[in-house]
Amino acid sequence: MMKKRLILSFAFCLFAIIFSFNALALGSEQTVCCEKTIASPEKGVLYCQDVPASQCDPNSRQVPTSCESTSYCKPGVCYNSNEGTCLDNTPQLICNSNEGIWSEESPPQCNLGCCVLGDQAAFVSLVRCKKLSSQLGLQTNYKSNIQNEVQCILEVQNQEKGACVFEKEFEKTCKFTTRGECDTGINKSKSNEFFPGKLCSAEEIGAPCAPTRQTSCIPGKDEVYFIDSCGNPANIYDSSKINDKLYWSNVLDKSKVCGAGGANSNSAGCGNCNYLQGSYCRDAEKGKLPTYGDAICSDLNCKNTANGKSYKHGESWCVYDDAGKTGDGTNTVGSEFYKHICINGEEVLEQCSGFRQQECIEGAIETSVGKFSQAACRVNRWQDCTSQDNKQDCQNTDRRDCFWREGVSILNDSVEGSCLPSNSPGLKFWEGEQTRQICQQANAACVVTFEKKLTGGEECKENCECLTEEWQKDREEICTALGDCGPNTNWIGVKGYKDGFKIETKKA
Amino acid sequence: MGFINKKGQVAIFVIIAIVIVAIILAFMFYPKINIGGNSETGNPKSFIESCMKEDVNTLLDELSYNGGYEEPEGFIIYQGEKVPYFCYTSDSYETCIVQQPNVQGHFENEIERILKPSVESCVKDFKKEFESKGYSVSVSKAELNASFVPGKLKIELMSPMTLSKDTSRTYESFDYEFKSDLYDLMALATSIIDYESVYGDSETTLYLRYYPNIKIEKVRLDEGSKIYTISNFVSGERFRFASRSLVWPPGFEQ
Repeated sequence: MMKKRLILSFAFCLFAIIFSFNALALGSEQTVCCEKTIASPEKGVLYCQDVPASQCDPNSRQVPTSCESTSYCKPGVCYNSNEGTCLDNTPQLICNSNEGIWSEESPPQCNLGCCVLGDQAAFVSLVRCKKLSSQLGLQTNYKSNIQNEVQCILEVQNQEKGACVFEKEFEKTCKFTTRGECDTGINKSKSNEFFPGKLCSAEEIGAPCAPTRQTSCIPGKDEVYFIDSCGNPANIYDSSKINDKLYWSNVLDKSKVCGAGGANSNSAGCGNCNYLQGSYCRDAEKGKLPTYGDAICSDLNCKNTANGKSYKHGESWCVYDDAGKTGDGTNTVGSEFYKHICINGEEVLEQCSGFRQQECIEGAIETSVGKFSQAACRVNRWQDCTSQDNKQDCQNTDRRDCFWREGVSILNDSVEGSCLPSNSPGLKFWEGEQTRQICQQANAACVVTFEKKLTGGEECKENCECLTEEWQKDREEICTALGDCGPNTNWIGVKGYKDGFKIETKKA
Repeated sequence: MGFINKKGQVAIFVIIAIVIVAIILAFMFYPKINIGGNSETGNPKSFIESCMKEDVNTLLDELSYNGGYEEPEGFIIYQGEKVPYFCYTSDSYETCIVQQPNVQGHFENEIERILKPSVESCVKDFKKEFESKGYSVSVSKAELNASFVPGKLKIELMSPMTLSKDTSRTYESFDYEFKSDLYDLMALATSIIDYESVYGDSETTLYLRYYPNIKIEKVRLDEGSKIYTISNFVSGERFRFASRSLVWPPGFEQ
């Protein structure tokens, strides 16, 4: 029997015409660590950049090495002695020219400790603490032995608070504060008397402060507070307690006053706001006035957002509303991931890196008030997908973001599947050679063997599946999953006007 | 009895009418009269404050939206405006190099530099006005010192001056305070730069936990730069700057 072999070859994923030559143009020029770049109309002047020598100001220092290896641009810690702040990754040149003190390693002045500021705390350096204390008119209370922020916050939460009665200009007066501040920080007099758990308006302490109908927001506090006639905060605003002597005498925890556990958003009678539930003390708007005073628990949550759901203040979530799907390599050309955030009743959006170099991931944490959604833009690790030759390595989500497609291989015939990016990367297919390199991974040559029959005609013997539409469809899908390759649709759902691939048939 | 009451009423109306006419005439013939009494009482502090107040507020508004710069050195053009880079790298896959480690200090210097001519002009106006009222005014060269603190901008004007008429009074310096929440916004900007330079990006939702009145917007541009706008919901103040860090270009590194 006479055999005749016919070879059909198929070439896929030939798409846009590539015009760019700029990679060649830049390739030969030496890169230098440039102290100061030449001023350009688009970027101005920038300091300590690794740039081609032609972009560096000839009057500035330049060395053909990376900036990390130079003395003048080596990044280090910049200490601002005026503010007591430290900033990493700052070159010596920039630090010194901006009134900073530069050092290679973090200096002792940058060590952090707990700065107690009345009933507030800040985890900062000693100089910063002194600065903050002087700005607030407080004595410096710095605890260097406290080495983390949580412990620092707990330190002030456990402080005993009450009414501090003292004399000012021969008159008795009162300040609601901590025992520590009363003993040492006010008037510096030994005659200061501290009444723990009492408000300045308590009759029994003999202070000249009386209840009022005024309310106010207190810095660092969520709730609306009553204010006494001396200007001190009293208990949380509760319109039903305006004439209650006991309510104006003893400090009450927020769990024991009106609307405990709730958000009390826009409540006219209760100022027990809860930031975690999305309410915070603010000046009331017209039409939403409280029964007394001008402050109210303002609603910070977002209702009926773009996806139709409601979210709490601070919650974030992923949005991908372009054409196509995510996670299975069918992303459309130009599509991008977005992270939406609910801030003060407003839906704010943050775009992840363009060309799907970042993808949005989303999760929820359980809180005492229900689930709290959180999203983030994360790098799309698609680069080494196609070099994986087994399902296990392909689906290792610690290393890469890929999916395993059974049946069709882009490596060799011994592998029974392909590892492809879960979210196909966007490519600058209109310029450069790189897109061609990425997309041509989907090129395939399939040798189909035919046998000539004695009665005339031919019969397919080997690799006959390459002649089917299904095989062509499989190759198209691989093409699309590799990036902006092959037959594709754009982000508004319009199909490309070219096939995006080519099939060549050769007989041998 | 009724007639006497009526006469009394008429007399009161006449007196009120005379007083009103006298006030109107006083304003017509002495148009430079100062209702607040600041100038007449010879208080240079309030004169200069009211003179420069508008300039300060406009300046704060304009400068803060440009990261505290009148003319940034390194910048990106965004919506036709130059937004200063506080952290920048021209490379891909690298974290940025800090370009402005002293955000607050630089802003304060810009305020001092830009405001000085208008404050000097205010001092000149004060001298002119008071000399026209018969005062002898001696003024030395003015120096400014601006500093941001929580909730306000403090401006110290060191402009020694002596006012003499019947008596003589000497002033060494004047302290002014303008309401502003930019201190917090700049502290946040510095923190964001720190994150950008170390990690290549910042997580803006982290700040919401500690700053309930702050909104941070981050816009990513195609070439990898990010435009940050930090604003205060209550005061409406805004602070804007740019960063280019840890850029992932399309395709892969060659």
